Amino acid sequence: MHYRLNEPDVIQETVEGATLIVHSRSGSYYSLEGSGTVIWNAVLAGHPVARIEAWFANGSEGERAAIRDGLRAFINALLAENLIVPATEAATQVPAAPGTAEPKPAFAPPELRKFTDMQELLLVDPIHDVQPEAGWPLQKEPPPAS
Amino acid sequence: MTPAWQPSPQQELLLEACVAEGAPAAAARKAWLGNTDLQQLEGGSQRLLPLLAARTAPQEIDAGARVLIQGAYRKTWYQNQLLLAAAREMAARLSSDGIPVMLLKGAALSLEYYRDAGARPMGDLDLAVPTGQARQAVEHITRAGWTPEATPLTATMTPGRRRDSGWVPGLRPLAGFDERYFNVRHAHGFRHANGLGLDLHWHVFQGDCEPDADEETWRNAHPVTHRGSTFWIPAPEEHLLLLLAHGARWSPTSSIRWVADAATLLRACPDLDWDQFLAAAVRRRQTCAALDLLRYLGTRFGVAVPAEVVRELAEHPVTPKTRSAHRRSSSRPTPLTGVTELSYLHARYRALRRRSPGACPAGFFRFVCSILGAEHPGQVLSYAWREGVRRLRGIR
Repeated sequence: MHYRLNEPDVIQETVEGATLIVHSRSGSYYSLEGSGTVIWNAVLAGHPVARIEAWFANGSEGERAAIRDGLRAFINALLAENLIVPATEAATQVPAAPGTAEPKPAFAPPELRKFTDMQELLLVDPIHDVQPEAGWPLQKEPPPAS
Repeated sequence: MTPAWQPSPQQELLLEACVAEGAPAAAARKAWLGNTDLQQLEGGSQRLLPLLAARTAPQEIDAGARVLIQGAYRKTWYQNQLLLAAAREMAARLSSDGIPVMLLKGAALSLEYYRDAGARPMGDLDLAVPTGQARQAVEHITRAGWTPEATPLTATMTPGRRRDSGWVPGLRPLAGFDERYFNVRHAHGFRHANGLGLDLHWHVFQGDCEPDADEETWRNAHPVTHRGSTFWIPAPEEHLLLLLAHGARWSPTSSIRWVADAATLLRACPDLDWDQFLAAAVRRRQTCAALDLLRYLGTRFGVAVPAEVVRELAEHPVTPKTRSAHRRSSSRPTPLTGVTELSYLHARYRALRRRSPGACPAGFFRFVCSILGAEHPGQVLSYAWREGVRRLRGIR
């Protein structure tokens, strides 16, 4: 099974290893890093999920099962958010092996971070209102009520 | 007094970090990052952080500052994508009714010159339509869920401060978008419930509101296709002039990004038609702004501006009144600026009386009331008094 980006509603870009995704109808913002970015780009390049799984898995059967479960959960999350849709046509070209441009990262269950409050996202000052170690869009904890 | 368009030495360092190339840019980034506390940054410099993020390699910056600057880039990318999606939606609605849409300022710069959706923040979306179709465009925009904001009285009036005391304009009703208003104002702001802002321009340049003022701009514009939608973009010569005219005006948030915008445009357009630029500057009565800002850009940032262009701008005859108006618009508003504003309103009143007497109420005060949305002259007089006192005291 392979998938494609849900265009034109979803816009995405990978910058310095992090993937930024916006669903322009809902205004939701998503971010991916690490193996999430590698898998996302492999999916968008037209790789079937089984090939991505095989690329990551080179260890024991137990490890392979964990990768399969993690990948399935991730793809299901992307589908549930309407970020990708099943591709009706096969890719016209066989894409290069996923991740060949970069060293293969160790598989870690990818995390799709989701931020839904558009008004808040627009109001957060990226210098003064954010967690200093995480940056926008993660806001500082509000001060405890006295 | 230093004009508002001229960056401070620290701002110049940041601009150099953003627009210079090679070793000088890297040295500027190192110097600026080394002596800047991001938490204390003023608004004009903060608006340049996304561009700085796009120009800075990870190894050039310590992890703490990098997280914040990258965050500024990501927020800009997110907001710009939503604004461009709104632009596509509005272009579809307006073009279905035969109304062409031109992108101005941030949206056009992002697509055409920066070519990076996260590098150049847009506070709102600047869309232009032909003057004769402005009323139709306002109706489409409001039907799409955008609400007209209050008529802005001066650059110093921010919504929070308007509630101080006395009369202030309310949200502009749909009926207030009439020939009088289109004859005085060049644009109006709209706000969507989702928090996005849109500036609808029926004239491209502030203060240039003759019905045919933009014919040349539309004639010289070119189409661009973005994710399946077609927009018009001003010719680079007109766009550069717009950046300079806009950058020359005083604004509550320092407008120094005009340097980055103009330098980026000029680098992307080495074959710029300077004769066309000069003709536009004369036609738009913007030779003073163009001269001051281009001369500065060439001298301080080494951007290629032909010497004969600077000479022709300097030699173009300018009346003392125009020169004085340029100086005033480049400085924080004073009570004297109010005279310029009134003089502008009176000129527009006389122009409308000549052109369509039926569209113009009898009496200048009634005209001002209808532009500002006031019910009677007393409200305008009390506003003028309070604003005069406020400016005299230098309150922002």
